Order: sequence, then structure tokens, then C-alpha cells
Amino acid sequence: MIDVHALMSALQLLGSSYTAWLLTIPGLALGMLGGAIPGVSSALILAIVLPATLWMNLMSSLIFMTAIYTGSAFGVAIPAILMGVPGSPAAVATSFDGYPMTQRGEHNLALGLALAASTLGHMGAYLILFFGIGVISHAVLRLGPLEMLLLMLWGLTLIAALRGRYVSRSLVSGLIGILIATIGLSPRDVIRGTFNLPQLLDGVPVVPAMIGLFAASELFNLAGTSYLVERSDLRTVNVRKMAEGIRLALRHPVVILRGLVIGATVGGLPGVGAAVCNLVSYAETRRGDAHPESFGKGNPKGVIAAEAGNASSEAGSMATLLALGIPGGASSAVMLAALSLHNVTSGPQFLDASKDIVYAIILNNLAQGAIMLVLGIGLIGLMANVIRIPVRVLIPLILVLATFGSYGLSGDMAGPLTMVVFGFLGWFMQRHEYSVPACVVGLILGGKVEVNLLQTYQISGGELGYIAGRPIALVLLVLLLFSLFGKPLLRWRRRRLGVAATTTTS
Amino acid sequence: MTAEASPARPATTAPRGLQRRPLLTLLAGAGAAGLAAPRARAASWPNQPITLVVTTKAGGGFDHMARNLAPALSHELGVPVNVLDKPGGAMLLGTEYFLSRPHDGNTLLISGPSPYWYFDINKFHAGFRLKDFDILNVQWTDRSAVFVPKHGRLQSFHAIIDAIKAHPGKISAGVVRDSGEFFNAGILIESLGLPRSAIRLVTYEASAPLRTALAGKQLDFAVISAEASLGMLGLITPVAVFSQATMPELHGAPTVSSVLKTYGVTVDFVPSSMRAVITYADLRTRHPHQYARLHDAYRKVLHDPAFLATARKQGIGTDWLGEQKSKAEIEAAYAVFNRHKALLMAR
Repeated sequence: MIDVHALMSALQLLGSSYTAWLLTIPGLALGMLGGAIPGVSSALILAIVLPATLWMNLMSSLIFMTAIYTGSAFGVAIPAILMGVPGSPAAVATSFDGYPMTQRGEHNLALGLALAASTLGHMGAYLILFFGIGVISHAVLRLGPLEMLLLMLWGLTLIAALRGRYVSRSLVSGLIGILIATIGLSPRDVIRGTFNLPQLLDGVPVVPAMIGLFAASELFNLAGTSYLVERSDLRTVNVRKMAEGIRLALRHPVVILRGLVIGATVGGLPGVGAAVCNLVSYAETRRGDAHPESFGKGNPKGVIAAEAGNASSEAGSMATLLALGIPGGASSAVMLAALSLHNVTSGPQFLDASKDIVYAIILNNLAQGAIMLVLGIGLIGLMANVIRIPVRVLIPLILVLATFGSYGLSGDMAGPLTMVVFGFLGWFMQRHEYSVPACVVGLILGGKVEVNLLQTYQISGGELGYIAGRPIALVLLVLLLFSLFGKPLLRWRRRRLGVAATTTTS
Repeated sequence: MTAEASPARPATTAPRGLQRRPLLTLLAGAGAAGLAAPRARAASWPNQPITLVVTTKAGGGFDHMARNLAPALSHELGVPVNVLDKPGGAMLLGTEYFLSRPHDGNTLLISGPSPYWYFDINKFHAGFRLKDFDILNVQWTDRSAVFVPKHGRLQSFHAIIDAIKAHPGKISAGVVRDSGEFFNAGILIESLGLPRSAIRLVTYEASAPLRTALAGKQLDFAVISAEASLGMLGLITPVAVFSQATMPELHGAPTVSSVLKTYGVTVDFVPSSMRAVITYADLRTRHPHQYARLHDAYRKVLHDPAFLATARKQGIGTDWLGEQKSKAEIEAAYAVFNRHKALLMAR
């Protein structure tokens, strides 16, 4: 499995080249800072630095770019935890429990948790890559549209889980999200609900809409308060508490392991990536927990699950990129361009011929985890000061930042306008206790579910027997059905047995 | 959003009124400068940065071509050349944005006249026509090819056609929707005299997920752009190419026409995509100096051996067809689309 010869030469490569190491730190910092600004995607940062990588050697450029990728995967968690505004769909699930923790004054702990889960998820997934890059990349290929459909439906069940007082209202908000996701050119090439606006042909821009929904609904909640954290004695930045968060994360290895397995496999799929991983990892951890109702109210395990799922998706997409030549998302597409800048075509031949470089990248990424832990503590120590800013100053700041971010995403007023429109929707929903996160989950997954449902129908020719020939799908289906109906079924059975027992005794 | 912003409002309204005045003065100044400038500017043009508008997201082939071209053009023109990505609506939004800019040569467009503009004009109600543009050059033309999974059950184009004929409705084929390949696959089935239901056509949003599905043997075959698929030749095998001649990169896969000839069938096809450098139709008459400067600088770049070497290394096309030939190629493609217009609304 491990090519010892290539490994030795990888160590030699890393040991002899200090530029690669010099580039790791600015790469991580750039990624974290960019990720922390809502709306700045890792693909954007990578596209900007791409020309600079022409002057580096192949290994250094890949290490620099993966460092940016790694940093950004953690950076997006910071606004999600501190302000309840995830900067990218990859951090949506992080905000579910991270933000309530901040409101309780546990922001230090939450940031520490996220940093540790992110680091461990990242390192763990790369460790899997180290032992079986070929296995991982081929596992990804086994997932067809049916398997993807089932995975995403799993994520969609979160809608029912993310509820406030009324289940029906959160189902309605999930449905609203799914309906909004149908706007634009459908997978079947029908133009739906665009009101003849060409700007809506590609659908509602998800990230500005998401920022609007979250930001407005949270800011509405804050309007009556003076600080993010109510109690002044808890309004501190405390590195010791952060370290405590790191230790707490270490106490939940199963949650991290689950997240990184989901991230490493699902993360490599084109068009799926981190946006789905964090939701599926969160949903699965919540389902398996003894107290699922404590999630969404500041359960540390929720933060760990979301961050581990999100951070490990990088390794998944690097596996498919290096071993198969398939970019999993926009970020890895830029890396593919960087590879071709160096006259390299990634894929099976590259993996065979340049195994030393692949090993060097993996080893460096394992080290990146450790470096990020140190850099990250510095950064979150700095960013956590947000809680000391009075809300009346913070609200305009967040709004301005979010507006710039959404402008950056669309390149014109369509982004900010979307944000404002969805801001009103979010405010209205929050006011009437319709779950905003449920709506966002519907918005993110709705379109992907439809694409995969249509492809499943097309590929099977509408024959139901198709599912019988797909073992992975069958397993996923059983798990999905069990997660939906397992507990009520058990309860019903227990009750019946109980009734039977009481009738016999009487 | 109004409720939570209201506490801050009294503080912000007062300075807003004060700031408006200097802003107006600035705008007025800029307007006056704009009026006085054009004549004086022509001689020293270009004297401000040039923008390359790209109609796709960062990271794709169009963006890659633009970012490769920008520094070389900047060197020739002596001013910075910036890349601006304006994605959305099957290239419609970026193209309309380009048309809304002043027609003065300070903005160039990198877009796909075929097939994307054809869909924009004939399907998505675009407000523009081909005649609104001057295509300086189609720099990068990609072809479509038929690919099968490496160890799939069908291993040649002959085998595919025979299987479709023997088991109509059982063979699955992947294409990207609203692409040249969608047309090429449709035309292929049509010319074999089969109904579209003869294959299970599976539509994808982009080519990367399609190639992944094919490599994972989820599909029997796929029609995909050839050049973009070269990196995956270890996992998928080309079995035929929609082109006049075979492509050496595709390991001698025969042309679609040569295989179909054995079935007594001739076939139409369109190129996968054309990536072109474009300016306004009226630039040549309204600003001849600007037009000539741009044209010559771009032409010079595409004849510079050093530029050609680095571009080729990155797999970027560097054809110089010039205006006449570029226009002819686009019109030829549009003629094929028009002959099979029914496919435009096919699902």
C-alpha cells in the first residue's frame, strides 16, 4: 500500500526544499482570513494567486494552494460561530450549535472546538489518503446519482430536526427553501419562476441568499440587546478556554471519525463537496446521539461534527483530483489549472509517476494541521474580540461586510439585492418562528436533490429494479428509513409489548 | 431589516447629507473630464487599464484563457489589462454587461459565440445578435468526442451503435445540457433513423460530474468535449471524435463520420465550444485607431513564440483565424444548429 521508496524520496523533497515550508504559513493565514470574510470563497483566493504559482516549482505551488484551501475551510467557521453568519455553505451546520454557544458566553470554547475538529478532521482525512489514496478515489466513483440522492435526502431530514416550537412551521420553511431552489433553468431545461429576468436563469444565488437569511434573522434577535454575549463577566477572550475546547473535542473521537469518513468520500464528488458534508455529518451525529433534542441549542458535538465533515472534504477532493484528475469543485479546478501550468496532467499516470510529490503534499498537509492549530489560536484570539463590540456598532459592520461579500460573489448589484430581499424574508420568518436554518438546508440541497433524482430516473429508464443492483444504495436506503422511522417504530413495539404484558398479568 | 437598523439611524442620517455634496462635485468633475477627453485621447490611447470581460466563473477554460492573455496584452499595449468574471445565464449576463459598457475599446469580451450565444439568442431571449459584435478571433476551438468507461461493456463506437439498435431504450448516454454535445448526440441518433427514446439520455449540469460518472461506469457512454477530458484518459477511452480529422491526442480514435459511413449514414456536427476574443461591431468605424491598436496587439501576442510555448504548455488554444475565418466558422456552426433546431427545446 505504501511505496517506501517514494516515501523516502518525498521526505527528501520536503527536507531539502525550505520554500515549500515558507509558503505554508502565508497560505494558511491567507485562507483563514479570506474564509472569515463572508462571501470570499477559497476558489476566489486560489484564482487570484494562480499566476504567482507559475514561479514556484510544482510541489511548492500545490502545497501553497492546499494551505490556502485548508485555512479557508477553518476560516468560514469563525463568523458562523461568533455571529451566526456562515461565510459559505460549508459552515452552515457549524452555526447551528456554534452560535448558541456564543450567546451563552461559550464562544472561546466553541472556537477551540471548531479549531480542533477542523484540524483533526483535516489531518485524519489526509492520513486516510496517505494509506489509501487509490482506494478512496475509487470509492468515490462507485457513488452514482441514486446514492447521491439518498445521501442528500439524509441531509434534507435535518429540516424536521431544526425546529423551534412548531414542527409544522419548520417543515413549511424547509419547503420554502426547496421551492426557492427550483427558481431558474431546471435540470430538465424548463425555465421556472424567473419572471423573464435573465439574472435568475441560474437560480437564486445561494450564498448571498443564505447570508441575508442568517444575518437578518440574527440581527433582528440582537436588536434589543447591547452585546452578543449578555453577561458581562463572560464577555472575555480567553485562550485557556479555547484550549479547553480543543481538549473537549479530543474527547469525541467517534464524532470526528464519522465526520472525516463522510468528508473524505463525499467531499471528492464534483458539485457536492463541503456544502453537503457538513450537513450530512451533523445530521448523522444528531441521529446517533442519546439526546438529539439538545442539538441546535449549543451542543458541542454539533460543532465538532460539522467542522470535521467540512475540513476533511479537502482531502477527499484532493484524492479525486490527484488520483483521477477530477476536480471536485471550483477550488480544485483552479488547482488543476496550476498542475497544467507545470505541464502535469493529473490522473492515474501522475499518481504512478510522481508518487513522491503526492506523498510530499500529503505529509505537508499533515503538518499543516499542526501549524494551523498554532496560527488558528492566534487568529481566533484576535477575532473573538468581536464579542466586545457593542451590538449597535457591530450590526452595521456585519451588514457592510456582508454587502461587500455578496457584491464580490456576483460582481454586480444582484448579490446585495438578493441579500436584502432574503434579509426581509429571514426577518419575517424569525419573527413568526419559522426555522431559518431549515429554509437554508432546503435552499442548499433542494437543487442538488432534483438533479440527482432526475439523473436516477434517466439512468434507470424509470425501472424500479435498478435499485436492486446497487448494494451501496440499498444500505443507504435502509439507514435512511431507519433514521426516519426507527425510533417511532421501536417505541410503538415497546408500547405494544407493554400493553400485551399488562393484559396478560390482569 | 428596518427594525434592527433603526437604533443606528439617527446617528447616520446627519453625516449622509453632508457627504453628498463632495460626491456630487466629484461626479460633475468626472463628467466634465469625460466630455472634453475623447479627441485628445485617441492619439495616446490606451491611457487607462483595459478590461477583459469573461462570461464564466473563475477557474474554467474561458477564465484561464483570459488570465493567460492579460499579461501579454498588457505588455503590448503598455497599460494594465484586468480580467473581470461576469458569469451567469449561459453567458448571457456577461455578454449583455459587455454591450452595456462604452464602445470605446477599453473593454474586450472573452466568450463563446458557439454554442452558448446560439442558445442565448434562440432559447433564452437574449437582447443581442451576432451582428452586434466583431469577433477578432476564435482562439480556442474544442471538439466533441464519444467516450466509454475504461472497462465498460461497450468498447468501440461500432459496438455502441449496434447495442443501441439491438436494445433500444437500454443504453445510457451522458451529455451536458445546453451544450454542443447535447446537439451532437441528438443529431447522431436522428441520423441513425432512431427515435430519441432509443437511448437513455442522462443530462448533467457540467462536464466534471459527467466525466466522474462515466469513469465510475454509471453510464455506457458519453459525448464530452475532447480536450478537457485528456487528463482522464486512464479512466475513460475515446472511441470516436466529432471532427473532420482524427486527433493525435485521442490515440487514433476514428472520426464519427468514418464509422457512420459503414452504416451508409452521413452526419452533421458542431464544435464543442469556441472561445473567442470579441469587440463591438461599431468599434472599427467609431474608433478606428483603438480598433487597430487592439487588433494588432492581440495578433502580435498570438504570433509571439514565447507566448505560444507557455500557452500550449497549459493546454490553452492559440489559433489565429482572423476575423473573416472566425465569422465563417461561427456561421457554419449556426447553420448546423438551425438545421436541427427542434433539438433546442428537446428534453
